[in-house]
Amino acid sequence: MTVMMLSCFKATELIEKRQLTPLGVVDLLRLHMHTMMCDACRMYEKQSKIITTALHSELHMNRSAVHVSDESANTLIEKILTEEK
Amino acid sequence: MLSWATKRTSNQHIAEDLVQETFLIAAEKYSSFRRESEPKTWLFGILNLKIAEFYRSKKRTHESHVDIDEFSDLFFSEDGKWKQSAAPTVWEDVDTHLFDDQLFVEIFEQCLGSLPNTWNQSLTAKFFSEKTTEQICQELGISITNYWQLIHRAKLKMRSCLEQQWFRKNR
Repeated sequence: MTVMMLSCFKATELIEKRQLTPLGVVDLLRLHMHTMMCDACRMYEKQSKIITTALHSELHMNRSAVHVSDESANTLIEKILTEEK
Repeated sequence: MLSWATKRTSNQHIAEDLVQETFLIAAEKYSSFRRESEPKTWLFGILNLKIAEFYRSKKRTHESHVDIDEFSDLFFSEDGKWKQSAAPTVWEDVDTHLFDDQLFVEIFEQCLGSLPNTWNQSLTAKFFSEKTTEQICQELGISITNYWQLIHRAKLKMRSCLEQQWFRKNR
């Protein structure tokens, strides 16, 4: 039984890992067992996903503001100019 | 087994992990155990392989990062449980409008900016580019295990920063 017990430290690490890659069966089971019993880690999982979403929305904002700067911007301007004619 | 692993790795947490993994492997491979040796010898054989593996991976990863014990002390007690002062509390009023709130975005960026460089990069690289995990690790010069740890630490820091700077103040 003790083999199946995760610490909150390990559980939160698996929560992060899970968002980027599928977990193995053993880890998944251990994580489920832990979050079932641990309110703090359940809350952590929810909030971690909120941060991920926030990072994604940051990405969209920065893309439109900063990312279009080099060659793609030039071709874009050219396109707009030719369309205007 | 634990005291043996602790002696070999001189780290209680790592030793615990290795012994745990040993038992998981043993449970998985039990059918292939031919009973030619004592179960104890067999288990220690697996444990020693795990210890060797740990030292190999340690050699590969850069050791320039914050010591994991030192960092986890900020949020977790010795047995790996949340410290009462660091445990997540309820975040109220979270919906999609939150990300349009200019003040929130500012605080979010402040928190992101306060992270050490490699943490910030490991966290944002995944979202700001379509690179694979392997490519990101190669660019940052870290192992994949190290990458999870960085993401984990960066997220823990971000979470507590947002909680302190935004969610607690806005009540």
